[in-house]
Amino acid sequence: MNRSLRARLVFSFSILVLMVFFLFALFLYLGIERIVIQRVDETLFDKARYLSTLVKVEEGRISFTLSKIDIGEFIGPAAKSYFILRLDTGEILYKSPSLGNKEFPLNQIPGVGKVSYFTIYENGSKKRVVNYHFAKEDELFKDLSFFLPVKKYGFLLQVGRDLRLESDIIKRFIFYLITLAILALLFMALLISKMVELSLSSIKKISYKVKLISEKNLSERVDPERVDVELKELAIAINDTFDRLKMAFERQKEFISYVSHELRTPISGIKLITEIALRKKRSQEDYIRYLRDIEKSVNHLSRLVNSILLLSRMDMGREHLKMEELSLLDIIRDALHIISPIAEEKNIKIEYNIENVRFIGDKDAFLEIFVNILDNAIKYNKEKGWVKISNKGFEVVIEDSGIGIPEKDLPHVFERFYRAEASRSRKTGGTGLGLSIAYELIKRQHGDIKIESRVGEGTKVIIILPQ
Amino acid sequence: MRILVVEDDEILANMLKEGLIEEGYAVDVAYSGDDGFYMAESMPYDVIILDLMLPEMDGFTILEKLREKNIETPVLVLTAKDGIDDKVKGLDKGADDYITKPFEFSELLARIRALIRRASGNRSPIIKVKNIEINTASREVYKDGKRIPLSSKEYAILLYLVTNRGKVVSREELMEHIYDWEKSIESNVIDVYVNFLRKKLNKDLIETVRGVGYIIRKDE
Repeated sequence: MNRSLRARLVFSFSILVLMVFFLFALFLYLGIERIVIQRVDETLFDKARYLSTLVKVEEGRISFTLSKIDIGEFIGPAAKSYFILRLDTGEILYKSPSLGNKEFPLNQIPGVGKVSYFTIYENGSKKRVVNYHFAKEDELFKDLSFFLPVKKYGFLLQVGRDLRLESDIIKRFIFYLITLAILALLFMALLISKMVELSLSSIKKISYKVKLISEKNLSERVDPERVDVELKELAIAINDTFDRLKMAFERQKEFISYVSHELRTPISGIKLITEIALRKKRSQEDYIRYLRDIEKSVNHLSRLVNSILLLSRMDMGREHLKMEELSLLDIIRDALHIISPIAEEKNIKIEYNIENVRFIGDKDAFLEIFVNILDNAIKYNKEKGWVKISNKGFEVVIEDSGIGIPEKDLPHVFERFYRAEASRSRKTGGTGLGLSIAYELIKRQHGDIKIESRVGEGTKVIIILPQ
Repeated sequence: MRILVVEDDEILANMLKEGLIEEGYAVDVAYSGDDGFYMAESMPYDVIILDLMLPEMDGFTILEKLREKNIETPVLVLTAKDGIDDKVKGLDKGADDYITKPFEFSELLARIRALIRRASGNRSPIIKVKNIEINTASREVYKDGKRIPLSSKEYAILLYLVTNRGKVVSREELMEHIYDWEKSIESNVIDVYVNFLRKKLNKDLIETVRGVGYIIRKDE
């Protein structure tokens, strides 16, 4: 299923708007209903007070006369108002004809002079009723009140009114409200959709650019000034990523171009030798000479291929180092065993003064590191020169009396295929990868390697063993 | 014809020299860019075979500096890179041709011959002078349609005089183009070879210009 950010945003925004609208409508409805009821209550109270004035008590006789004006309101089938006059004991004295045989329930009677209201729900229609409790004095005794205690009669007037009209108004109001809500919702959804599109336009811009950045056009960049401020960081992060990617690609391209050059030259040599050797019949000495040259080239090639494979295995993180406790002295001795024939050939004296330490590392890797460095120390040494190996704890120093490395080359010696001028001539038979391999191997094991050199005086390689 | 090979891989450079000498060329080798430039500048080579990746001065710089100094020797670039950029750059900087490592020796020879032909203004590999016909591709010489075997030095002298026909060539110039640095010889060796050529081919083909050198005249 496709996840659409826009759809999700529109949906959740709509839900939110709907909820806000619903709450708003609910409060509005309740508020309006309350105001309407209050107004109804006021008129009911007025009516009750008016009706109460119509009640008369004379010599213990209670009379109640409706005026002609009032009759229309309370009598007849179209009447919307009702009332019941009771004694405050509950006994019904008079019932408006509009009530028919119905009557209002008699619940709590409020205190004298007080009112209480209640609502009756009756098959779909609502009635609001006021209870008005009042007292009347006998008119006859009123004048004699000075002599005799006045007799008081308590009455309860229940005046009710149908709320049909108000309900209709409220119903219509709710209908308008719902219609408005739906319209507002549609409008909001449209608006939100547009807004989302607007806010996504920067992302669209970025993704368009990112699409443009392919392997062949790695220099294309997202302009952080042309996207929204909120997305600027994303743009910058994307650019940084592509910068790094581009650098990695370029390094890889350069490496491959070097590899191709370094492989093609010895292959050309071999091809040329065989082609020339086979052009005509030659003496046995010539054939032997040609084979020796081929052997040299093939040896160089296989060293080169091994080094390249080792480096690319390390680049891909596929070189598994077997970490174990190693003895520095054992490693140095093994390395010297491998390297001493080359040293003897060039008449170079190797001295070592090792105070043994134990450290954690891969045995083969450290052997390779020391052999590579010793190999350089011998290769770029003077005839009858020397190489000294010593250590102070975990810091191992390999010094030689060699030709040294010019200052401008020093920062590059660990780069792949970098050769300082003196070593550029292929006479030395180096692959140009020895120091890179040593560097990668030692860094991978959390050790360090540094190189100091002065032309004509010699080179000092300092290896910090991992601790 | 004298060729300079500038190539830092010793095995490749030495083998090129051996192969080219067998083909009758005089060959010098430079193992570094600086040596290569110095030699190219100081000797009149007929072709320079130039590797691009060299210690010291690189191939592009050598090309640039040679062309700046108006040294118009044809240059055949030997490159280990097969990127189009390098080829274009090499040709733009004044190289006349290029060949990618690893290469076929016979192709290299054909390209060298083509460069020499082009430099002398001959398009065809067959050059005819009087009753003599020289096939520069197969290195064969015919007199009246009959093949005349020549030694490699005789052929080299004949070829140089023929490619420069109509022009007087001094003994020194001939020696420079026929021998490499390792051999020092007396100038009368040239006279000896010229006499051999006159006997084998045609008495009147090579004329002596007294006190200056030799000339093969163009056909009228």
